[in-house]
This record gives sequence, C-alpha cells and structure tokens, in this order.
Amino acid sequence: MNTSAVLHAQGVEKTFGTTRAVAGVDLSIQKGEVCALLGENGAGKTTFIQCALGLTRPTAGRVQVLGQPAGSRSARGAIGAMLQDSDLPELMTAREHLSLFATYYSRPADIATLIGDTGIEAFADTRYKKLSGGQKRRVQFALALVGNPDLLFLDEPTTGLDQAASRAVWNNVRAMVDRGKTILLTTHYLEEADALADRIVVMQKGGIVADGPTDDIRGRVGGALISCQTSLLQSQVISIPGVRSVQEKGRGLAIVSEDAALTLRHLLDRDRQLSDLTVQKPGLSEAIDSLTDTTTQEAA
Amino acid sequence: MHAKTALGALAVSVALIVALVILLPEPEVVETVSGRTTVVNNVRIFDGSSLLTAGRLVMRDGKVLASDAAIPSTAVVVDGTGLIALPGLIDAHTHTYGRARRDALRFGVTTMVDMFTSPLQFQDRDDRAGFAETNEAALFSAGILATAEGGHGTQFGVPVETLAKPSDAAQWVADRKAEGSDFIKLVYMSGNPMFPSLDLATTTAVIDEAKAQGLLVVAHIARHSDAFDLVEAGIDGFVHVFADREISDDLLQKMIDRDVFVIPTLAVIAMIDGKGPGLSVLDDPRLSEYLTPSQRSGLAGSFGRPIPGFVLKNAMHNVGVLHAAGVRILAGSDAPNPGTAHGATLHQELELLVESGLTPLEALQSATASVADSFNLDGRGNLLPGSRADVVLVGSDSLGDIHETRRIHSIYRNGYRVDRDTATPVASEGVGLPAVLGRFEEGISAPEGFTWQPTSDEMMGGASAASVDHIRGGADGTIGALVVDATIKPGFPFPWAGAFFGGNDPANAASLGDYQGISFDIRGTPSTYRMMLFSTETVGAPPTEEFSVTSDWQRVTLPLDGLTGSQRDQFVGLAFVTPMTPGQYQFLIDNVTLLETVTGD
Amino acid sequence: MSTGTDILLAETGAELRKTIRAPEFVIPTLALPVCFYLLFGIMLSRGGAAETLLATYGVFAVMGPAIFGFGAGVATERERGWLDIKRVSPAPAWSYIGAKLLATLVFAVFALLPIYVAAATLGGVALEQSAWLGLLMTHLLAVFPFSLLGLALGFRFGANAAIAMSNLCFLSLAVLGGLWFPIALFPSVMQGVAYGLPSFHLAEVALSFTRYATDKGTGDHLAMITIMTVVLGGLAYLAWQRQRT
Repeated sequence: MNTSAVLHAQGVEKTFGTTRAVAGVDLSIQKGEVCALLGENGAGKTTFIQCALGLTRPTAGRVQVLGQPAGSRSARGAIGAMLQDSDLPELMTAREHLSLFATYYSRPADIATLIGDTGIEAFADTRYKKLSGGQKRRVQFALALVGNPDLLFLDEPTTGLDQAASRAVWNNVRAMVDRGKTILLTTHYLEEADALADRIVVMQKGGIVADGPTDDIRGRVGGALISCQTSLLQSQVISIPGVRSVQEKGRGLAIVSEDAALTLRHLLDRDRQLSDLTVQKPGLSEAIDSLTDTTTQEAA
Repeated sequence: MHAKTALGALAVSVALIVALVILLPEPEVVETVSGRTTVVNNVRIFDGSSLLTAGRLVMRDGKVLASDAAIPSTAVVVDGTGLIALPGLIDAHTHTYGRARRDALRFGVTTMVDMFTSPLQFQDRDDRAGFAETNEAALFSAGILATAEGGHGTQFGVPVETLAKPSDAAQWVADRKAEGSDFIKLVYMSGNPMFPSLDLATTTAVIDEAKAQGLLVVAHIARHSDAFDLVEAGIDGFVHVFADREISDDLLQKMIDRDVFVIPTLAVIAMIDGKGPGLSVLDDPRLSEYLTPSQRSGLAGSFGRPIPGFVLKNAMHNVGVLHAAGVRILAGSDAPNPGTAHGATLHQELELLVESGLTPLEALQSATASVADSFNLDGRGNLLPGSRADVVLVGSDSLGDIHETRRIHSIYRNGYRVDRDTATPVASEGVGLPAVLGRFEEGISAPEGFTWQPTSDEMMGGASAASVDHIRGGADGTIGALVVDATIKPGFPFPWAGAFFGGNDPANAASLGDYQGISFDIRGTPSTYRMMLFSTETVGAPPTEEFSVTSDWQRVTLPLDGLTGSQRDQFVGLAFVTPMTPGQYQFLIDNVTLLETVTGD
Repeated sequence: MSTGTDILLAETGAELRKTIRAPEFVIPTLALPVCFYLLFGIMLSRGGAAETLLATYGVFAVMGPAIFGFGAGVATERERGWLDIKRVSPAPAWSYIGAKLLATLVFAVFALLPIYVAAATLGGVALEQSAWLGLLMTHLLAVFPFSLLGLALGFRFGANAAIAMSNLCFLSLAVLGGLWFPIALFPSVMQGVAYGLPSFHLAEVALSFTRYATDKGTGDHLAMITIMTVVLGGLAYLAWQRQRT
C-alpha cells in the first residue's frame, strides 16, 4: 500500500444492478500531481469520483485520502471539490458561502485572500443567482479551496461554459497548479486535460485503459494527422499503407498515419478530387481515440 | 458572520417569547372573581326608580353587582342591545296556591305579595333568603285574613280563624305571626248585604295589635265610607280601590296625611264591572303562549254579573286623583279571580294604571320599588348593586308603550335564567296502562311504576284521615283485597278520604289508551261512594262518578268518559273515596280492571 | 478550530439569511395565518372564537414554515446538487437539519407573534402566564413533527413534486385536523381521520391551555404526538437513505 499517496484507490468496483460502472480501478495520486481522468460519458469517471469523495460506497475495493477512508470526516476535511451539476443556494453571496464553508474546516483559508487569489472580488458580494455561468463556476472553485485542501477534485469544471469563461476557470486552476496543489480533474475536453494536467488516466467501460504523463500519452501516437475531404470510404482508406486509424471528422476524414508521405501519395492517387487537405502533428484527442477506438483495434 | 446572525435571531426569538409570556394579558384576577355570573351588555337599566343609559348589568351568585365589577372568564355574556332590564316585577295582590308561583314567574313576576292563602303554602319559602335556582316566584303573605264568622274570606273552603270582638285581636295577631304571616290583612265591609263584617271596634283592635306586634296591616274594603273609617283607625294600605263613587277631597286629604297606600286591582274591578279584559290576554301571543290550560280557563271565566259598587270608571278616576295627589299606588292583579291569571294579569294592571294617569315609568315603579318599599321587601324591586338578581329583560319601548312589558325577552330569578317554556305539559308518550290495576292477592300490588296509597283532605288542611292495608279474603273467593279505613271530619269544604291509585312520579302522566271503562269489586260501610279521575290538566273539582256500596261484594262497572281529549293522555290517577258525610267508613276493594268496552246493563 | 456548535450557528445564520431573502416564502407564511386569524378569529366571530382559534391557528402558523421550509427547501437543494457539496465537505449531516430546525423555530416565533398580539389586543384573550407559556411552547413544539414530515417529502420527491405534496399535506392537516373549523362539525368518518393527524392532537394540546379544552386527555394527545413524531422521523430517515443511492 502506498501510504504517501494523496489518493489511493485499490480494486474499486461499483455495480448498479447488473451494470458495472466501475470495474476494478487501481489509482494512486501523489502529492503535487495534476491528474486528468479522461473518458467518454459512461466510462465510469463520475462514479469513480463519487467513490473517492465518499458520496457513494464502492461495491468492492477501497479508496483512501491521505490514508483515511474516503467519506470519513478527516478525509472530507482534506479535500475540496467542484462537482458537476452542483449549484449553490441562489440567495447568498460568494462571500457568505465562503464564510459558511470556512467554519467546516480546521484550517480554512482567509476569505479575503481567497477571494483575491481566485479573482472573484468583483462579484463576491453579489447574490449567486445573479452571476453568469462562468462566475458561478469560479465561485464554486473558490468554495472548493476554502478548506485549504490537500487534494482538489474538479469534475468537469468547464462543461457548458463558453470559451472565455472556460479560460477564466483554467486560469484559476493553473494558478493553483503553480502553487503545487494536488488535483484530480475529470473532463471530456481534451484541450482541458492537455492544458492543465501533467498526468492522464483514460477510462473506458469502467476500467483504466491508459495511464501516464500527458506527453507520454500524446507520444503514443506517432506519425501525422491527415484531414481531408474525399470520396473514398473509410473502409477503403484503412487499407492504404501507413494508415493506423480513420475517423469521420465533419464532412471529411481524419486519418492517423505512421508514414504521412506514403499515405498521402496513395490517397491522392486514388482520389483526384481530394480537397481541404491539412497535415498536422496528432493531439491528445487522437491519442485517446487511438487508445480506445475500436476501428483501430480491429485493424491492428 | 452567519453565527452572529443566528445568535442575534435566536436571542431576539427568546426575548420575544419571554416578552410575550410576561406582557400578554392575564385574566382579571381570577382568584377573587368567580362564581355564577351573567353579564348583560349594552342594556338600559330601570333600577326601580329611574332609567339609566345603556350599560352593563352584572349578576353574580344571585345578586346584582356594580356595572364595573370584574368578570370571571366563566361568565355568561348576553347582548342586551335594544332591551331594558327591569327589576323582577312584584305583584302586590295575589292569592297563592297550586302552581301560582310558577305561573307568575313565567310572566316576569318574581315576587308575590299574597293577600290570603292557607298557611300550608308557607312550607316552601327557603328561596326568600337563599339564592338557589327556583322556578317559583318568592311568596310574602298575610296568610289567614281577619274577618267575621261567615264574613268575606270564609267562603273559599280554607279554614279561617274568625274574630268576634276586640279582645280576640291580640291572640289572633299572635297566631298569624306564629304561622308565618308577613303582615296582617283584614276585611272591613261595613253594611255589606252579602257578608257579615268585623265591627269597627274589632277592626281597630286588629290594626292596633298588628302595629303593636310590628306588622304592617292592610285592609280589604268595598266602599268609600269603609276607607274613611279605616284611615281614621290607622290602616297602612288598602288592597282594592273603592269603586262605588269618586273620592272626596276629605278622604283624599286624610289619605295624604296618613300616607296610606292603595293597591287598586283595576283588572279585577274591570272584570266585576263586566269590562272583562281577560280575553285580550288570551288573544295576545306575547302572553298566551306561556299560559297553562288552567290559566286559560281562568282568564276565560267571569263573575257572572256586575256587582253593585264596582264601577271601573270610578276606580280609575280615584287612582288618577290619588296618584296625582302623591298617594302611593301599587300594582296588584288579585289573581286568580275570574278573568285573571297569575303573572299575565299584572301586565294588564300596569296598562290600566297608565290609563288612569300614571306614566309608564310610574307604573313600573308601582310594580317594583314602590311595592318593595311599602312591604319592606329588602333587596327586591330595584337593580341597585347588592339587590337580588331577579331581572326581567323587556322590549326597549316599555317606557313609551307600557304594553311592551308583555314582550319579555328573558327572566332571571336569583341570577338563573328562567325556563319559560314549561306552561304546556310535556306531551308525554303517555305510558300505557295495563288492564289490571290491582288484584291484591299477595299484598298491595300495583303495576310497575304505580302505587296504591291512602288519600284524604288532610293534604288540603282538612281533618279527615285514611289508611290502606292488605286483607285476606277477596271477592269471588280470591286470596286478598285492599282494605281502606277512612274517617271523614269537618274542616275542609269538600271532605274526602279513601284510596288513590297513581304513578310514582306525578310529573309522568300515563295514557288511558283505548280503555273506555273500569270495573272493580267492592264492599264496605253502606253508602254512596265516589270515584274521581285526575289528569295533569285537572283544575278544581275532578270528574267524579258515584256508585253504591253494600256490605256484600258486588261488581261495579263505571265509564271513563270523565277525562276527554288530551286529558286521556295525561292520566295522573284515580281515587275511590267515601261520601262527604262525617263518620267512620271501611271498605274493601278488589280486582280493579280497566275495560276496553263498557256494555250497558 | 470550529466546533459543532459553531457550525450549527453558522449554518442557522445562513438559513435565516436565505429565508428572509425569499419574500415569496416569507410574506405568505407570515401574513396568511394572521390574516386568517384576524378574519375568522376576530372579525367574523366578533371575538367569540378569538381564544379557540388562537390555539388552532397557532398550530397552523407553524405548520407553513415547517412543511414548506423543509419539504420544498430540501427537495430543491437536493435536486440542485447543493446537498452533495455539503456532504463532500466535513460539515456534519445533523448540522444541516439542526440549522433548518432552529431557523424554522425562529421563523415560527415571528409567525406566531402577530397572532398572539392580535388575540390579546383585538380578541381580548387573557390567559394565565403559565397558560401563555404552555400555549407558546406547544406551538413551537409543532415545528418538530411538521419539519420531519417536510424532510421526508423533501428527500422523497423532486422539487416540483415536493412543493405539490407539501401543499397537499399542509391543507389536509389544516382542514382535516380541525385547525380551521372544529372537527365536531365534521361527519364522524372525517373525525376519525382527524385522530390520525398530528395537527389535531397539537391543536387539542394547545386548546388545553385555554378555557375551551375539549377533553382532559392531554396526556393521550401528547403521546400521540410523540408517536407520530417518531414515525415521521423514521419516514424521513428512510427517505434520506433511499435518495443516497
């Protein structure tokens, strides 16, 4: 057992009836890590997080926070959480929410400093009801920090926010990252993981399918990403030399190739009408796809 | 920041709770204010002498309290808006027996000043001092009156100790006092063609003796000249106004000088003068609804023909003149003379007084405070604090239209509200009677709820006596019979003695149902015996059947048609009694059986 | 370092803030009972029913904030995920419910205040000090069963359904429990129903402090209230367990 881990999950399973939402997850997060938990909807991320927060009890296995069982009062005292689909009472201001929550913790943050650090002074005394979506999220973020947590859970922190609002939330998170906070982040925005995390854990069907440093995960996808519009079918493209995977993307295809030059020659050969051609280095999105995509598996 | 809010709110809440508990009003000193209390709010009070503006009448434990008295939470509160509270009326001239005191109370007469009745009526007068609930008016009475042998007053069947000479007076007055008479009434009708009268010397002796023994003395007179004599002799008051002529200035001056009061009894004079107002009472639903059947028949009665010397016009003239001169006039009904009824007739008397010249307010005084003052009835006739809570709430126009006193809202006696709906006998289902009333085989047997018992005129002050017992040897060889030993002695005008069959509770009447006759076996001291039937509606002499008895058993069958109509459902009992002739009687009776058909023989 | 008391007080303060900032809740729950009381207890009865209706409308006044505050309040906060945030934090679960109870008690005092003042001034109601205290304590006691009922509804139903159910319970308890009219006016079947309602028994206990105690079975009524409070507490616990997946 890794006692120095901030979060330590061992053999966590959670079944609802016949559905196994989490199917045996082992995960340790060390102090200072910023870990992104990635996966599609239904991959089991949220259920796993709920086990880690103590909101639900795992069917098997266990989760410990700083050596304490998840959900125990001392475990709860050591974490801060920004939950998906959670709203605060509308008729109180951010400052009021923060000062209420401060009473829960043994060594709470100074409210005024926290408000300054999270950049929410401008609307700290406005009733929550009147805030925009991004402002609300930033208040929730501040609320997650009020207990000076050892581990910060951010469950889909920017879902539903526009670009600018998301960026504001990211800036808050990055500031905390810079201060060495340990963070477990779930998201299905790869850019978000890419932008914030130094470690990525990919979940699929309740299990972990990949776990490693962000660069490492991205590096698992070599070659290039070719995007184009073509009359060729996906099944025709996959048989072209060098092609590792093919995905429909918009009105065209996104093709990951181990040898961009070879693949391009074949493509242009077969479809003279091919258009809107771009070639770039593959991102995290493609990396995850390649780790989880069934097309790839069948082709491999 | 939140904790401060919470502490502040909690502190304010606790402070509010404490403040509420401390500051919210407590009941007005409940410890000292308790007792049976009725409050009539917003009522105009006629206190016996004058009418007050609308205010509060407080009655507690049978007494009137000051209007600002504290009220217990248990008080009954009555809205008196539009009403006048009168002191309970006092009828200054009545003759009281039977249900008279109950009948009077239903019409707001809470006190009766009786001018002649049997002292037997004095048995139940605890209410005069106490404040218990009662359905009867209080009774103050002269008891037996002072009259000559065969004089006025001896004709009613009540034994009267008469006077013959002045030296009888001392003992006679002492006897009355011992019997419980509250004052002395004498009859002085000099030169009257119908009745012998006390002479003036004896009358004067009675007056002097009454005064010497501390009693008020009033007189029944017929004529102006009688009044003249008695004013000279020192009489305190007259219980009728003389109606043979208009009053002379001479007599008027003497009456003023001697402060003699008069109870005119105009209603009765009107009846004697053939101006009979009794029927108008029957026609007025404000009064007639509360009359008993016997009161109705009384009101429908008459004196037959006008009696000389009773001229209503003169009587009313004299009342007007006397009143104008300041002579006290007191309202009295002289019920239950023909054409009158206890209680109801007093309202008529008030109206006749107003017609004679009194204002409505003065008429009300004549039936309240003036009577109480004249007869020294403490705590009655007014509504001042401390007085008895005998109160009549009437329509507010009473002081404009005296007829409004007939519109009685409610009556309080000793502070208890009087139930006025007791005039009509409760239409009982009429407990059915079994056919066999007595076989007397093993003992004095009677159907469930009924008894056989002796009866005699002893209950009316007579001297006759009776006893009943079981005896072996009945009719037709049966085991036993009822034996009655009876002694008839003079004393009561219509003497009787014998056996009575009736219900254990006289208030519960039975029904004769389809029974048309009765048969029984009887033998005894030979003579003509009587069977009498009683119902709750029986007034005066009951229906009576006569039959002959010999020393041998014989079966007698009699019809039951003496009771008719509603009386048949109000059967109270029947009596087998001896003739009225004084003597010793014994008779045996057996097999008393009701018959559904009576076959004539 | 924060103790349980600190958390409870802070939570209570926050509850009160939330409450007073919701005029659509405050005004009807504070004003409706006293308006009803003024109308039926003072004006229409010309003061004749001022004392009896003080006892029953007092229960009525407390019932509103307790049932709605808990029923609608808890359901809304649960549905909006607020409860999850609390549960992730180290705040003890009882402080949430305890604070709501305290806030409801404070609110109840303010709902009762105008009725008591109206009864004493306009209705001429005068009671022994001990009776005032007993009446007030009985009315405040009513917070507990009704809050537990609200809590059960709040845990069991979604926000909209909880509001509807709260309304249904609120009106049924008021009418069938004899808070608006004496149950003696009801057909006997409905009188039987009243015996199964905490509102009826609370009203009877309240009436026992007035001059209009309908019977002397105050001990029985208190026992019924206790049993019903325990049952409602059990229901609230089951509903809470059920929603915790």
